[in-house]
Formats: sequence, structure tokens, C-alpha cells
Amino acid sequence: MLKPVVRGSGRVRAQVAKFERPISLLGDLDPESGSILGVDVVGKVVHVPHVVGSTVGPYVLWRAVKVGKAPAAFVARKPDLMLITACVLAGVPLFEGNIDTNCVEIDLGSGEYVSCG
Amino acid sequence: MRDVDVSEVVRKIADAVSGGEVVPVETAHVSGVSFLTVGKHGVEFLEHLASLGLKVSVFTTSNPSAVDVGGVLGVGGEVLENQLKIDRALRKLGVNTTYLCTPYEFVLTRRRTFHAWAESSAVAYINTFRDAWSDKNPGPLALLSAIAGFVPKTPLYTLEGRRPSLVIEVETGAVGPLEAGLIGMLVGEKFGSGVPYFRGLKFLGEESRREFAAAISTYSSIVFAVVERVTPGWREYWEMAEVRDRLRIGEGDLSNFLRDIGEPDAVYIGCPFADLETVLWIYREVSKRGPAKKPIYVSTSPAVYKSLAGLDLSRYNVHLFAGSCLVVSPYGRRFRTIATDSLKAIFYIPKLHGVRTVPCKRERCIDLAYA
Repeated sequence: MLKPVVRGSGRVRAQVAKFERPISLLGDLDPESGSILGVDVVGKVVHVPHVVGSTVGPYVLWRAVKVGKAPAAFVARKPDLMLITACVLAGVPLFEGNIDTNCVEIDLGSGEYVSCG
Repeated sequence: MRDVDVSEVVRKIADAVSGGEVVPVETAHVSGVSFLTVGKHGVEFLEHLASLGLKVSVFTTSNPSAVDVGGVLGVGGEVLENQLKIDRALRKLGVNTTYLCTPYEFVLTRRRTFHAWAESSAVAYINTFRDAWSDKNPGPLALLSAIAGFVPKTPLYTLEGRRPSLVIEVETGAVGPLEAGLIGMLVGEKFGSGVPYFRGLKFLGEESRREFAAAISTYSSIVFAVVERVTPGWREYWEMAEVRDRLRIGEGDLSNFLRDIGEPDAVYIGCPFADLETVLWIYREVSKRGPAKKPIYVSTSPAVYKSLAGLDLSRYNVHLFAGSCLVVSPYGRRFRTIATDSLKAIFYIPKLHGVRTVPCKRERCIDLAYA
């Protein structure tokens, strides 16, 4: 069970793209291709420890959503004001916690999930 | 996103960070207005907000841009074109396009009032030297809060969240700008977060206060420090302190940092922007010595710049410019090594522009320009 920080709605089945190191939305996320550090994250659950970097980050996620290249959700061990602002602005659900599986079927409102991997 | 929706967005962020609680703000200061840092996505976002007819509801100022007000840096092309788009969008939103990182110079924030500021050095300044309350809000959140008129009530907007947790004993005597920045950096790097309570810290002038606030907030998430006999209400903060760690800083800790000095090809002063007194100090120094061998760049606020319009500094190879800085402008990329007394510039210039920086005390920086 993940703790919902920014709630979405509906239930999706998605692959998990897990990053062991913190990412910067500015620089690491390419909003035109929907990839983080070269890994395709479109429609996936992006799992990061936390985010770092510039206050400009929220603009980049907002752009990815606008061109239809956004992740389905973010999961962070430590969500901070920057990631929360980015997710609320862009309308991307955000959860606090940890996932140890490659594929989840997740309720974007409650954070309940089952492994499908 | 309409007006009502902006309030909902801020409330939604508040749901995630402050149990839904918000506080009304008196002023806002937005960052992320340089094309170099926000890029085309930022331009698009600001134009989108402006196209909806939204307006800020409190007095709002803006951070420096990629293009300086007087054109001294000669930035043009795509950067200028996009910077003008940002300027138009900000004006349409009702933002005062002040283009400065030191809004506290004329926004005299009163004690224990709430503000939605985004520039970390300015947030640290008003928290520490005015006891005016602001968190370090991400750029877009400060703008949306300026429209909504309120911010999420994060801990720094509560007395409890401002309880000192660290004690720093400073045994150095009064500090100039570089040393003040070094103390901020040392504490920031060691602790990362918390509320430090400083004993024995004395600043030589306004520039030192600015450099201290900029450094501590650059090298950590700390944006509020209590300085004994300086921060308004310091006694009350001391009485409520719950100390979990301590640090002692002596002259040796500062001099260690100054050992390896390189060969700079330019000198930079004014990050955060230099105040009037600092610019006049530079003028006095160079007018005694004649034209400098290496260029000295000094960034300041548009107001100080205009007030010094009659002062011909360029004949001394001193280039005063306003509304931009060598962190958010591409201008400094023409140099290999820049000497500066700003720990914030030392942190950002290599990362953003690939230019080496070397630290120097203010007087030494001027000497280096004549070496």
C-alpha cells in the first residue's frame, strides 16, 4: 500500500521504471520523448528516491503531460514541495513509499496495488 | 486553468504538504523568469496563464532575467526573443518586472507577516534579518500563490516550525561578504536542514548579510537562521530552542578554503545584487588605481543602476549592469575562470555555464583585476 500524496482516479496496469538515484526533472526528463535518462517512462509508474535540482522542474513535467508523454504516476520515498508542486500542476498522481516489483496494477486514488510482474 | 482553478491547485498542494491549511500572503516574489533556466516550457506555461486573463492578487516582484536592463551584456538572438515573451506574459499577469534577486531592498517586509517568495537567498534574507515569514516556494508555486493570494501553511509559516535545532558558535570576529558566505556554506553543507542559532556572528555590512543568506540557502535547504542580537525576536527563538547538534567555526575553517587560488580572466561581484554602498566602494577603489587589467563585472538592481547613471565606471574596466547576473545570463561563458566573493556564484556558474570560479575576499578580488 502506498500513501497517496497527490491523488488521481481510476485503476491502471503499468510497468515500474525504478531509478536508484535522485533525478532532476530539469535535465533528466525529456518531455518531448517522455524519457528519463534515456529510459521510456510514458504511461509507466516512475519510482525515485526523491527529486533534486532547479525550481524550474515543474514546467518540464507540465510540458510532458501537454504533449501526451507523461508517466502514469510517480512514487517517491521522500516527496518534497518541488515534486508535489510539479505533480499537482501537471495532474500526475504521486505516492509516498516503495515498490519492489516490475509491474503493478494500481488504484490511482488510494495507492492500493497488486504486483503483476 | 482559470482563477478559481488556481486556488484549487494551491489548495491541492496544501493538501499534500500542510494538511490542507493555507495562509494569506502580503507579497510574492517569483523566480524562474530567465529563459536560460525555464526554457521554452516555462515560456509556454507563463503565456498559457497570461492568456487566461489571470492576475496576481498581491504585490509581486520578479527575479533577474537572462537579459540585463541597460543592454551592457549585449544578449540577443533566441534568448532575447524568448525573454521578451516572458516579460510580456509577466506584465499581463500583473507582476512587477523588477528583475532583481534582492526585492527586500525596497519591499520592506514587516515582522511576522507572511510572504510567498521563491528566490532562496531572498527568502533566507527576510526570514533571518526581518523575521518576515516565507518558505522557499518553487517558482510556479510562488506565482500561483500570488494569483490565489495564499500559500500552503508549511512549517516555516508557523512558530513551531521555526524552532532552532542547531547552535553555531562563530569565533572569527566581524565578517565581510566572502567570510559570511563561507560560514553559510559550512553550516549548510554540514547539516543540510534545520534551524541554526548563531552566536558571535557579526556582519561588516549589508553585502555580508546578503552573501550569508545566499550561501546558506544555496548549499542546503535551510532558509531561516537566528542570529543572536541581529534577528528580530532572537531572544524568544533562543528560549524555545531544542538543540540537537552544535558546531564551532574559527578563523582556520575559513582560511582553509582560500588556499588554492587560480588565474582568473574576469572578476564578478554582485550575487546577490550589490547594494549602492558596495558599488560606490568599488568606484572608490578603482578610481585610486586607474583602469583594471581584467574586467570587473558588477550586477545590481535596476534602481541602484539608475541612481548611478552619471558615474562612468567603464573607463576603469568596471562593467555595472542591472536586472541580470552571471548565473542566469549566458554572458560569462566567454571566460575561463571568474574570481568572485559570492559562494552562490561559485556553486552555480560552473554547473550552468562550465566556467571555473575561484573565491576571493572583496579587496583581493579587486587586486586580482590589476594583477
